[in-house]
Amino acid sequence: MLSVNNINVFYRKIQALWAVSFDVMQREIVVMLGSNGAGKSTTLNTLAGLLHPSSGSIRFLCQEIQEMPSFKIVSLSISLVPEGGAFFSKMTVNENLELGAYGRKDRGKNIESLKWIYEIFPVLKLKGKKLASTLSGGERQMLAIARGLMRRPKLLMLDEPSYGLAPLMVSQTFKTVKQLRDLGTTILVVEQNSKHALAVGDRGYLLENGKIVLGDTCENLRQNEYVRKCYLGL
Amino acid sequence: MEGKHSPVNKLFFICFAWLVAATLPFYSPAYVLLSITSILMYVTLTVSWTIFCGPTGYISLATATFFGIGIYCAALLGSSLPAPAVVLCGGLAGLAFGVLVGLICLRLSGFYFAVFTFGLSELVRHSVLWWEHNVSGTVGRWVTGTSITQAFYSLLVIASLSILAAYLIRRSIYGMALKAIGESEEAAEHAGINVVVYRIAFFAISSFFMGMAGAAMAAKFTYIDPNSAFNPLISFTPVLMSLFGGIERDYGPILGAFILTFISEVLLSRFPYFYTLIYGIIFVVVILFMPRGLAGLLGSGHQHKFMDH
Repeated sequence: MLSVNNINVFYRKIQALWAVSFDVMQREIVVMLGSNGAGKSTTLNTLAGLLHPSSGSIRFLCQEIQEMPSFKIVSLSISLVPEGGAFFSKMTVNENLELGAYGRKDRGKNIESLKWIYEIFPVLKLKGKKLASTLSGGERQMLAIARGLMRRPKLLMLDEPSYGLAPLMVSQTFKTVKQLRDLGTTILVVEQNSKHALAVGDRGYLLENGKIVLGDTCENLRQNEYVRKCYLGL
Repeated sequence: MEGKHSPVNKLFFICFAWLVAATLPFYSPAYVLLSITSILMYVTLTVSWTIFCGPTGYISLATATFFGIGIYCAALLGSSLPAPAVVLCGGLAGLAFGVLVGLICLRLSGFYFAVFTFGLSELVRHSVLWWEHNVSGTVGRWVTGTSITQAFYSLLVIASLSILAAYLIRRSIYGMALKAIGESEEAAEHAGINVVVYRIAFFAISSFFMGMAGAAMAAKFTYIDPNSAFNPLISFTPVLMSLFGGIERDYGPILGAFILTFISEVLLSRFPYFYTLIYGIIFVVVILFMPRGLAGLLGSGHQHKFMDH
């Protein structure tokens, strides 16, 4: 579905990603693990079109997207939920959700998506008319994910969904991620919380200093000596 | 909403106000007409300023530039074209320059945007001044005057159009997109909003109305020079009026423009020496005690009006 081929990404003169390649198949959860500054967010931002690789290619459903501007990539049904949610705090919850489906002409479909989202996140229905800034941390994360889902994306990219959440909320969030995959969404998730991520993911990649050092099924990664020592602390 | 503010009543009120305004020249003395005309000019400038700057929160201080461009359009074309065509040309010139400015300041936001637009409007003023002195060899220009009634009617039409445009934009999906851009351009881009195109387009639309207002007002000024046409005060007043009235409501900027123009006309005739002092005090009081403007005092505190279903 998505295939990234040897991309190099620079922040001006500093190289952040070195020949990164990986694939995401339909209906799977791919997790990307790595410590701070490994290049996880850079990878997602490049996929979302906020950064452009200096070389290499990104193919999404048989289309090259590495040069496309962000708003066009969004229209191809790729949604990014940035780190910390990045929602519009001065707007209501419903307005935020509406912006998630921005540009889609079919209003009937929007209402359908909204119903679907209320089913997954009932709390958002209750707080629909409240300002987004009044939500709690966990609710904000839900809102951010829900916003990403409004467009019914083929690929949902989550940047550190556990960021700043209480342990209970973290499990809740990952449960939702799994639920979404079962409903047919393909998910690419970037995480520092390796334990949870490896528990729900199908396949995983290890990113270190801008390079992919390991790629395998999550099952195998959990058994891997190096991963156990450095990422799971076992 | 309670019955007092039902849509039918609102519509009735708007029609009534418009009818009163439209028949004004038949029974009001000339000086009243003159002050109403300048009120309408400030209404246009404030409302069109709010179209872009209200939802995004980017403070543009280039209103004088677009207004002045409209005025100079009228000075150059006034004798050869009929009045409505002159006004339209002023608007189009404003629109074109708005696109240009929009393109130049794409990456700017926050106070960089404010400082840049202010610098730009001063640059334009001095450039025109230089051009008039050294190339055309004049200090000012005469504008083919029209009757005050005609100036009044053109401003009434322009003000109504700008209010209608502001109302429609605010209630459309574009209004929400502009608000999203103001909060975070990056997040707006993530939401699939073409930030570049929207920024330029709506900045240019507000410039369009400012240009038209300038072209229509020129006929009233009869004599213009760069310093009066590109007067920096024109850049600041819409900001003050809009804040005074309250930018969260549709009627805020209209109310602000109405009341502040009225107050300043009264002050100017009663206390010519303390005029700016009193005006300044009023404004300080407003900012300190009514941060959401007059509309904030009048309204029920329900701020999120435009996307309720």
